[in-house]
Amino acid sequence: MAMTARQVPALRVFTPNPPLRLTASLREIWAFRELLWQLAAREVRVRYKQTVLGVAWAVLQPFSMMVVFTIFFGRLARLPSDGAPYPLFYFSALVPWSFFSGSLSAATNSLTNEAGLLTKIAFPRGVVPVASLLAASLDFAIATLILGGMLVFYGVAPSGAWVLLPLFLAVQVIFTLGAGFFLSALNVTYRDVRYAIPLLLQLWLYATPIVYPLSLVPAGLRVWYVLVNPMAILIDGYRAALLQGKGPDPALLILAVIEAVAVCVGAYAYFRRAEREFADII
Amino acid sequence: MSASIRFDGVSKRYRVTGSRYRSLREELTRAAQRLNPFARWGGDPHRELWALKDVSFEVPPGQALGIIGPNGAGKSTLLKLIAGITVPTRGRIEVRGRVASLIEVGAGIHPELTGRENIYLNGTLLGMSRPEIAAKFDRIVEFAELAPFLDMPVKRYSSGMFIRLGFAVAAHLEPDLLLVDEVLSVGDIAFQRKSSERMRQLLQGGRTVLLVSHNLPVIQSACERVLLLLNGQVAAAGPPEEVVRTYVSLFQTPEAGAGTRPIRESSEAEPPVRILEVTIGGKAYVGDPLPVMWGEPLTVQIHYAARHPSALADAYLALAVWRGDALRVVYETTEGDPDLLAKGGMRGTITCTLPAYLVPALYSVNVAMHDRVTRAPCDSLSNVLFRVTAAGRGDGATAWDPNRSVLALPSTWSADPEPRVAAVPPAPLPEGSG
Repeated sequence: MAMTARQVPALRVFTPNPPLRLTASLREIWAFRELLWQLAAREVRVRYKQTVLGVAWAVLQPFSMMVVFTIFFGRLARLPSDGAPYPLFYFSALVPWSFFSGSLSAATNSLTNEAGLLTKIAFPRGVVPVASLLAASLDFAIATLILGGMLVFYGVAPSGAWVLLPLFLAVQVIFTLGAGFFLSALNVTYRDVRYAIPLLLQLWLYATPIVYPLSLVPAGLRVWYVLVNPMAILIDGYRAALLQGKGPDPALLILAVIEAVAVCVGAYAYFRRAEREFADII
Repeated sequence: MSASIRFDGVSKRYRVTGSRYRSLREELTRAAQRLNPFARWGGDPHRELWALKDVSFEVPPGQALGIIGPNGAGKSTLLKLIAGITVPTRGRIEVRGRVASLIEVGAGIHPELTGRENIYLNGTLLGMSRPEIAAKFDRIVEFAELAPFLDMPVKRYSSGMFIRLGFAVAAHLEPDLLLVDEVLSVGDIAFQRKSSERMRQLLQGGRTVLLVSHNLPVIQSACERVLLLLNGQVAAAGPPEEVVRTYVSLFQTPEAGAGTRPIRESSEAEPPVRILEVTIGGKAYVGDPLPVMWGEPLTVQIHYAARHPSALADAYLALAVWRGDALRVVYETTEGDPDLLAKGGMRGTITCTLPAYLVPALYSVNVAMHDRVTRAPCDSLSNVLFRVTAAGRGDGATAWDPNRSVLALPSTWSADPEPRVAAVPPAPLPEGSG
């Protein structure tokens, strides 16, 4: 803790090209977990201030998308749903997807929104995008409760495949963190990112098995599909485990795990390099 | 014992671009240009600014070091480097111990949160642990005099309350190394007295202190050693009296100030109101101090552009005149007239006229747009220089001397052979005295 370090004052060295020290800097973020928590709590407190519906907004977005998808892709277009009722089929994919898209867009803008802090106070910069992911997880928790209610309503029985759900979530969080580190740092230099993100997420939504099952993709193409979009196996994985009690193709899951970890490490290295200049160019 | 702070050949370069951040399109165009071997013209559109050039010094533990120098000399950059907010372009900096900075008091206070929530958030940002804040909470609240308003969102606070909150949190850090950048003049008179008292306590606690100030008497009384920065370089270092004398004498030479540029500082890339230009007597400052005749009106015009109409109602303009950068002789604001700025429209000019009854010397005009709530400047232009000259009293034995006075009021002297006032007889001395 910071207090105990006072007996022997710690030496800090600043040079133009400091070593990246990825693990040491992660420990630094951990040492500032209190700040992480405070920033996340602040974001949650501020987000629904002066709104009438308040926390209901957390559920309203995936819920209304579920309604629209049920009407158009389900009832009208009659896309296959692996035999599941349409509302449940869409909502079980939209809940984790909304967590991904919500936390990614929040993380992307997190650094530029905190320009005042970055130019005035020294603290590990990595805390900022991580805090926005933490804040977004509250919406996810609430939406998960609604999903739980729907599972009960449709009489879905728990299955052994459900033990995989935390694994999917962990991989998703690692991947989201990586993308968030990269895009938030890129957005400091190029504000274009801010405008590109809604478009990117819109396209990504349809490139992910949400309105259609992964089974619709020809088996031979699935490796390439997951390689390009690791979210595909995760989103379909949640749904298949929840509704059909089926686990994913292990090879595809391992591919997604490797990708998520690689993206996270690479993106954090980029973030560490870029963060030296944040205060100067933001 | 090893030094608390060691600077070893430190330089810091800033890129000055039209806009603060680059766009991807601009970058792609430039990448394409770089590929084209014939595109030698155009060059790099980024101008470079060396805020610090090859600065080396050491501060032993427990020393109070003062840093002086004109605006733009690199003082704030130096503090930011020590705090670790920005990294050096060249050289090496060693900092030993926990650093607290009273550089930007109130940074990180969120208007939507309550006072209580902000104390915890701000304390955490400054590096305090939760138990530490909890232990100091009551003292912070008492210091800030905010007990009745703790659970009110800070956006409903008055500007004075806002500043008190920020200062109170920062002043209760217990660092090994304290960085101070002229924050003593916050709040009302009573709070100012309290905050300078707290500062004195912190200074006496045996800590290493770096104090940046334009207030030379404060520097002289609080610091054991002083560093003079000029154009990003250490121009002098040593005992306070010596360095301060060197500094003041710089501003009394006729060539002082020639070639210096105005300094622009913005709190964000696009401040709500931007100061475009400041002119004196209708003339733009291009690097040579503008001439002003003593006794004639000193007319300062501020051209500005607002981002949206409401920005003007939320802002006020402050104008300061510094003599040779060491003494603030004028401070005027439009704070008392909330409608004034709006009368100038989205793009307009504010004019301030005051008689130039100043001792002939070199002066600098600093203009800043402030936010009415936080009172923090959102955009400022400083270091617009002018020189007051007086025909007939400019030199020789009768010249006004900046070392003796600040104001040169139009005074008249007369002599009379007859005393006009009845002489008062001296009071009789009491017994036993003398």
